[in-house]
Parts: sequence; C-alpha cells; structure tokens
Amino acid sequence: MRTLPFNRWISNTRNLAVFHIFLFLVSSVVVGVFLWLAYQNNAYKESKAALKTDLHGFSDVYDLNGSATDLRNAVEQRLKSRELSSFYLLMDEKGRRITGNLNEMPTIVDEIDGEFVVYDLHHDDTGVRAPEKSIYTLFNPYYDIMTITLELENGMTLLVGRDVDLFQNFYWLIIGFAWMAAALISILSLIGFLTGNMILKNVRHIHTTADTVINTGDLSSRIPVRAMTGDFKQLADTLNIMLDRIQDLVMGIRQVSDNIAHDLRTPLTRLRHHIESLKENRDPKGIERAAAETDRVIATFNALLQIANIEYKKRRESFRVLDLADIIADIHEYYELIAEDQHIRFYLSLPPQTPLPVTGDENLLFQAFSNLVENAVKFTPKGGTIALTAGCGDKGFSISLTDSGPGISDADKPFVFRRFYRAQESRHTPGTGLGLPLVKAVMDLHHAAVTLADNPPSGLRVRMVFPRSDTPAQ
Amino acid sequence: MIEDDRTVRSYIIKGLAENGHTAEGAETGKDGLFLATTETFDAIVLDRMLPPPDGMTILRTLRATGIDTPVLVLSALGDVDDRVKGLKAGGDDYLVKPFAFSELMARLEVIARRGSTGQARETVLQAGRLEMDLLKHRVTCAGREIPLQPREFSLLEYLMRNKGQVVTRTMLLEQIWHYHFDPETNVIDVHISRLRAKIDDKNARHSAIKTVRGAGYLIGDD
Repeated sequence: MRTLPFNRWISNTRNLAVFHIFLFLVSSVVVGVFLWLAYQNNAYKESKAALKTDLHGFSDVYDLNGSATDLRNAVEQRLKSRELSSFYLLMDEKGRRITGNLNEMPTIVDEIDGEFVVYDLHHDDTGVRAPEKSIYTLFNPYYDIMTITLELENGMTLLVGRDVDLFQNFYWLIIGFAWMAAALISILSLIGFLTGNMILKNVRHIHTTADTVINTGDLSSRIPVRAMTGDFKQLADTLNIMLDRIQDLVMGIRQVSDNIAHDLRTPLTRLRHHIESLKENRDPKGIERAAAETDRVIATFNALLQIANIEYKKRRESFRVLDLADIIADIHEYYELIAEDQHIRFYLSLPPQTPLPVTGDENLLFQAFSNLVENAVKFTPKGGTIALTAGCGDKGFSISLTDSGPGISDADKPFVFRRFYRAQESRHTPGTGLGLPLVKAVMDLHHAAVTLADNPPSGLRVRMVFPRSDTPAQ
Repeated sequence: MIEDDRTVRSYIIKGLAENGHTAEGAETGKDGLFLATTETFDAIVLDRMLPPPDGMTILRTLRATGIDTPVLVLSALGDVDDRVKGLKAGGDDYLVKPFAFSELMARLEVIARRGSTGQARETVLQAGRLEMDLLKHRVTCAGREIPLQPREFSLLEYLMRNKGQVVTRTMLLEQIWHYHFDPETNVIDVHISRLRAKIDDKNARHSAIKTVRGAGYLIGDD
C-alpha cells in the first residue's frame, strides 16, 4: 500500500513559522539600526554644532573688547531670552560662579566625547530656574547635559550646556524598543510554535485516519473532531461525512454481492442436482427443469444489469412524451385476466381529464408498473381487491396501486427498494427480490417519487407522483 | 451468422441445422460483410460487438448497398436505447443475450418469412377451421362466428399470420401490446387460454393454438 510521508508536511509548516519569525527579526534589526544611526548622526551632531556656535558667539564678544563685563552681560542677556534647555555658567579664575543658571560646575561625568563632556546633573543643582519636571524625571532625577567649556585669557571659564536628556532618553527608548522587539519575537515564536503544533496535530489526525483507511481498508475509522475548531473542524466533518457515504456505498455493494452469492447458490445447487440426475436417466423433464433453473439465474442477472443500467447510465435518449393513462390502461388490460382467474377484483380509475402527458420511456414504465401489479396479484388473497388509480394534480400526476394483501410491515418498508431484500413474510414466495428495486430505479429515472403506505384495514398502497410534461402527449 | 464467440456461433449453427436450415458462420465483421454481400441468405444473425467493423457498421453498409436481407441483431447490451439504435440502423429484430435458442429460432423464422412474402397484404387469414376476415374484423370457426375483444383479435391475427411458426411470449408482448421487455410470468398464457376458450370447440380434443414447450405458441392447419 502506498502512503505519503508525513514528515514533509511537518517541515513545511515549521519552515513557514521559522521563516516568518526570521522575517520579523530582520525587520526589527533594520528599524533599530536605522533609528540608532538617525540618533547618532543628527541629534548629537546638531547639539554639538549648536553648542559650538553658542560658545563662539561668546568668545567673539570677549575677543572684541577683552572685557569680562561685556561677557557677563552677554551671558545674562542670553539667560533672559533662552529657553530652559540651555545652561550657562561663567566662573572666575578660582572657579566661583559669576553668573549662569547653574550653581556650580557639575561633577558627575557621564561621557566625554572630545571637547564635549556630558554631565549627569541633579535637578536641584540647576540654577535660578529649575527646569520643568518631565515624565522622565519621575524615574530619573538626573539631567543629561552636554557641555563645552572655554577658558578665557583672564582665567575665567565659560561653560555652555545643552539639555540632551531627550536624546539620552531616546537612546534608552531604542534600547527598550530592542528589548521589546526581542520579547515580542519570543512571544510570537512561542505562539507560532503552538499554533503550528495545533495545526500539525489536526493535520496529523486527518493523515492518520486517511492512512488507516488506506492501509487497513477499514472504513469505520473517523477523524476525531472534538478537539478541532473552525476550518479544521469543518474539513474534518466533511471528510467524515464523505467516509460515512463511502462506507454506506461499500456496505451496499458488499450486501448486494453477498446477496447475489446467496441467492444464486440456491438455483445453481438445484441446477447441479438436475444435471446429476440427468447422468442416470435422460428424462426430458429433467432437462427442462435444468433449463428453467438456468433461466432463473439468467433472469436474476438480467434484472441486476438492467437496474444497474438504469441507475448508473441515466440515459434518457429513448424518452419521449407519452400518455401515462394509456400505459395504466394497458397494464390493467394486461393483468385483468390473471386477476380474474385468481378471483381478485382489479379496478382501474382514470381522471376525466386525459391525456396525462409525461416524459418517459413506455417500456420501462410498463415494466415497473407490471412489477408492482404482479406483486399485488401475488400477495392478494382470493376475493381480494386491487385498484389502480390515476390522479391529476397541479404539478403532476399520481398513480396509486392498492391491494388487500398482507401489506409490508413498517420495519420492512424502508428496505424493500434494496436489491435482494425480501421481507420475512415473502421469503418463501417465488421472486428475485429485484422487482421493487427496478421500480425505484425506473421512478428515479423519471423523477417520480414513490412511497409506500398501508392500505387499511390490510394491504399496501404504492403511490407514485410524476412530474407533468410541458408538451402534450404524442 | 456473424458472431465472434465460437461457442455461441457453433451452437446456433448446429441448432439451425437441427431445425432444417443451412447456416454459414463468420467470425469477424470483415468476413461477415464479405459473405453477406457476395451470397444470398434468407436472414442474417448479426452480433453487435465484433472485431471491426462492428455490427452496426455492417448493418448500415448492407442497407446502403441495397441488400435488404432480414437482419436479426444480437447484443449483450440490454438497453432500450440500444434496441432503438439497432432497429433504426436497419435491423428487423433485436435479441438480447443471453437468449433461449427457441426465441432466436422463432424470431428468425418470422423475419425470414417476412422477407420472402414481402409486404403482400392478405384480407382473409385461414388456419384449419378458423377463418379471419381482416376487413370485416370477423372470426369464424367452421362457419360459426366468434365474438372477440380487440386484443384477442390481434393475438389471434398475429398467430394466424405466422401460421405454422412458433411465436414466443416475448414476441407476443412486443407485437400485441407493443412493450419491449421479458415477461417472466404467465400473464400471456392467461390471455392465450382465454382466447382458446373462445375459439375452441368444447368437445375438441386439441386446441387450435398449440403450446410449444419451452418456446411459445403455434397455430397450425389441423
């Protein structure tokens, strides 16, 4: 038995998950690097440039006159106009504050980048006006300020600083982002892994069931759907229904072949006995009986083939518009005498408005009706009644056949249209068990519905409803 | 007899010989067509499924070349559609395998005779003491008029037209009721026995309509 390897499937799904995670990782790194570069190149450079410009401005003022007062005035002027993110400190040669918004020279060095020094500055250390507390200061009471210092000829020192806390925070943001991305990737990987596993588990269930069916031919196994949800449940349900249907069909075929074997064994055994007895004496009656037995076997096969032909070929080439009333009347006429011989009253009633146009094959219809009437005649006791009634409705015509025989028990009714099915009561009467299946096949071919009901007080009512043909009978 | 199955072919040829007929067999469609076109036969038995050309092609070729020897088509395909196709192609009768030899024989004799007498229409049929006037729609037995139902009349007419030949139950169902299927029960027998009761003298020892065991019915001159 050929089976497909399941491993390929595993790697396919896993690969897909891994590929997606990898893709996410790469894009995160790319975005992170991009942000880092943007931070490095622009924010810092801009700050440095601004600081330098600022410092040069002051040094120019000093260089012009060499006056410390001018410089002091310039710084104080600037302090008035400048926003709070700038820091200035002018100190004398002993390091004492002359002016500025810092109390003293900051001490905690965070980072030295050439001439630029980044200090950690406590909020309380900022000079006259403390900067507003931002969301960051809640967690971190220190400011990051980037400074550049200029020592003047007269020994004074000028410090120009800029708040880079925002950039520093931005830096931490990027680091945070990286960690978050890492966490996210981990979580997603986990989710992906679990989802993939669930999908794989479902697929594996389906695969295992299919494998079992393929390998053992056991059609009774089903995909476990209880743990499944959504699309997989739907798929599994559909596949299970398909398996149900296949099982039904296979069982049907198995049953039919069992029945064929069983039903043909009897006449064939009898045939063998006849032939054996012919060895001893060449009795012409024995030959005839053997021939009759053979005919019965052939008739069974013919009936089977005919039903199969009608059921599977669905050929309607021989169909034409015909009058159902004609066929019913012919059937009545054909069987009237035999009913009379058996002291059965056989009534025919046709609706006043004939013809009853139906598209069909008159030979098949005649044969189907004939099977039904034959059954009715066979099972109706002497003095009984059979009635063949045609009715006219809006959408079609109904034909019913009622008899006063023993009827068919409710337990048997659903099965009598199956090939070779014989109700318990009729086991010992002659018949192939193919009469009603043929009726059903013919009715199906004609899109006619056939139903069985009781005909109180005793008997069977077979009712067939034919769709009306749009064109009149020829 | 154009048939590729050796067993069936020899069985039929032997059976025909036993019934006093001479038959020639052909195994392939080619041989069959050659025989049918070069020699004259009373009737041809033609299998549908043959090594090419197939039965239907042979039949159409024969009819197209003006050879109207009666043809009985044999087929394992039991569809009504197939029967219609076979008859449309120019077949005179159609028989589904497996069949009883008596059925084949009866049908063959009927179509062979139909071929020889042509379409000559008789107005009065006669068999023994029975006389049927087709124009007046009257049947008499030794001068005594017998009232018959229309169906009984056509039954008797068909038997008398094929006087001396066996007609099978299936043939009667086809010809009288115009339905094509294999009647498995004795319904036709009941109709025949009714007809017998009407046409036979009460004190006659034999019925005018004879039962041929395992085959069908026959009406003769005696």
